[in-house]
Amino acid sequence: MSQFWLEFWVVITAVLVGLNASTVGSFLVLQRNAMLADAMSHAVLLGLVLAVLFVGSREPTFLFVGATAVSLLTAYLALAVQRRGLIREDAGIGISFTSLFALGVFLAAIFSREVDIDPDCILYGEIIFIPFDRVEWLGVELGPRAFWSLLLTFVVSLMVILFCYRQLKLTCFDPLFSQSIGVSVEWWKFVLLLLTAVVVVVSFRAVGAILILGLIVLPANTALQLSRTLPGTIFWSWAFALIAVALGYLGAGLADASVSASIVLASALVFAAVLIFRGAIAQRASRS
Amino acid sequence: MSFLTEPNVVWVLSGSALIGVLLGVLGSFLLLRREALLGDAIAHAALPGVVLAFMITASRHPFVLMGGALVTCLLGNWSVSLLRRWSSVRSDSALAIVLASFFAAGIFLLTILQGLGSAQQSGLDQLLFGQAAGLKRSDFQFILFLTIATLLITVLVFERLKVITFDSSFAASIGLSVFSFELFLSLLVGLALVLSLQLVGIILVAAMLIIPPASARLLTDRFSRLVAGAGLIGGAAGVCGALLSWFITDAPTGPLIVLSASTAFLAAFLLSPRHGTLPAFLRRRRLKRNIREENILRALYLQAEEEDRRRALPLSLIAARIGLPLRSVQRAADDLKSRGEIVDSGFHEYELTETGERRAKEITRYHRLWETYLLQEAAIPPSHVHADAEDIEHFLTPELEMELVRRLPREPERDPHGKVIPEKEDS
Repeated sequence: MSQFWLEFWVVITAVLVGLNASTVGSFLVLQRNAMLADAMSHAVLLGLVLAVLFVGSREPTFLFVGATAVSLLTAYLALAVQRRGLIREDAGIGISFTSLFALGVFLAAIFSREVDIDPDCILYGEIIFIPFDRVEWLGVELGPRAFWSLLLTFVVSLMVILFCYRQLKLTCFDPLFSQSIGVSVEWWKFVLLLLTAVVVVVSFRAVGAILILGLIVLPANTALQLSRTLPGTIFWSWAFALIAVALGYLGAGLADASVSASIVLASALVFAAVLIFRGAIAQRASRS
Repeated sequence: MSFLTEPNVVWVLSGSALIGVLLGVLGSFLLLRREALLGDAIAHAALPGVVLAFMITASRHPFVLMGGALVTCLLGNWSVSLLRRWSSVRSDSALAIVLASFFAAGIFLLTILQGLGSAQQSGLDQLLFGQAAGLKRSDFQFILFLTIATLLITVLVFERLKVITFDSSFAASIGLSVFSFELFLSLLVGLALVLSLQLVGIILVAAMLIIPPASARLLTDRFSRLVAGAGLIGGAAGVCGALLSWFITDAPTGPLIVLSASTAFLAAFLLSPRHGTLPAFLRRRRLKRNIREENILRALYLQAEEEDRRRALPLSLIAARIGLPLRSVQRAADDLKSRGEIVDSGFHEYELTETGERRAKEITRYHRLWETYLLQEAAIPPSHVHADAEDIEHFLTPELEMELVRRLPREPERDPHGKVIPEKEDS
């Protein structure tokens, strides 16, 4: 593969991860569930380990199903262990994901011969190896597997948002009202969590368990500094995700550092810049 | 025990125990201040500090690396407060932003270091998952010192800590410095996390700040016991994890310590007498059974009252009267029969015994007293008092009954529907 195509696929993958993450991120941030994304991405490790141990194959479908299921399980476990007034939601999140992650690390360590998961991959993914895992269909080479799964995920989440826009919006902004007019908050929360789980799982190989959190919360929060509407927030978060991918990719090349870490770092710098810029404008407005 | 003779094992074992106590005690304050996940963000912020300290000084001396980690931990903590106070960012997003940004910065620097092929960088990424075997005597002494200091401070100024933890604005109004408490707490948490990294690793260390206090919270409603319990559970988890990792080949210590704590939490969650799932379930079931039995007794009593003589009723009729499926009524009737409160008078018909009638009278008295009370004191119309009394009759006690009679102008003889209120019986 020529250098151009290698870089092309890496950038395209990064762009798709950014778009996917910032889309679900916009909703999660509005629902004040940002840390739930952190918990769900950590749980992917246990899902992969269990899938390999129980099914005994590295068939991507099994890995995908196992990881998505455990990721969803973490979110619901976090909700299940909370007790009104005793253990709040944030503590529930902290309990469920650390326990499942510890279980994942433990199993991966004692079954290291069967499982063989590279710890670096958990931490920052291996986006530069993405172009080498390719899919073929009827003998025709179609390009990297990650590209297709990310593209499919993006299309599906766009469809869900387009067709169920009203319900999703209501559950984000006014769950009580939406319950009262017969929109099931529980169901739409589940849909959103399922989308989040799928996004963290398909992004896992590219960016790892922890950095995906950055792409979920940073562009969405940057967008919220500028936009007061839901479509505006989503569009701005896409814009900031793209800017972060561009800057981050260039930065990684210059510094010879991890592409995914560099993208998240760029995203953080953009967030800080927008925050300061907004603050300066607000200060000038209040002075005049 | 032969393995205890190896010096390293002793350090790891006692180090794990102390770390568990230390993080458990500190985590109690965070949990009650609703800051459980703050530790997660702060721990991740340690990574860029360690890497930067190494890049700048090229030294692997623990003090240098820990110093760097402490600086970025405090910076991370400060950024969270800054974002929450001065921007519109929500508090959960503030944590996630700081966690991801600092961690990304750390990985960015770490991969630059790895790209340079620095021979000495190995060991840095052990910080992520912990490497208990690397725990040395000097680390242990540090941990011991910090644990003793933290425990001493907690005991000495316990009352003040309590006030600040539960009501910081009240604490400020009586002249306690909430700001210095917060600064001090974040310093202690930062130090404790940095010292625990070697053992548990960046990703899992937050668990020891959250899980032991949460388990203790389920076991007690008293603050002092919560803090002590969290310390004990944390310490026990540390010892268990360290021992298990010794006996299971290839097993890492950090995750085992966390899993021991998770097991303690699971046990507390299921079995805690006051807040556990299982006792609550049993209590609910006992209450339900009690209500069902009392309803059967009352149905028999009302029938007898109507006809002015003790009457046997078929179970199916009783079930229809109290609106429950026959099967559950059958089970309750069996229990009542075995306690001698009703007797089977043939053909699956049941009637009250002396004891059964006494209990039925008591419930009926509660029911009708309550109806009278509602009508006279709460001015609720007669048509509405029955449903309420139907629920409350199962919960009234002799003390409450006396209180009801005391509050009524005179002891009533009949209820709002004109039925006789049974006399109180001397038991």
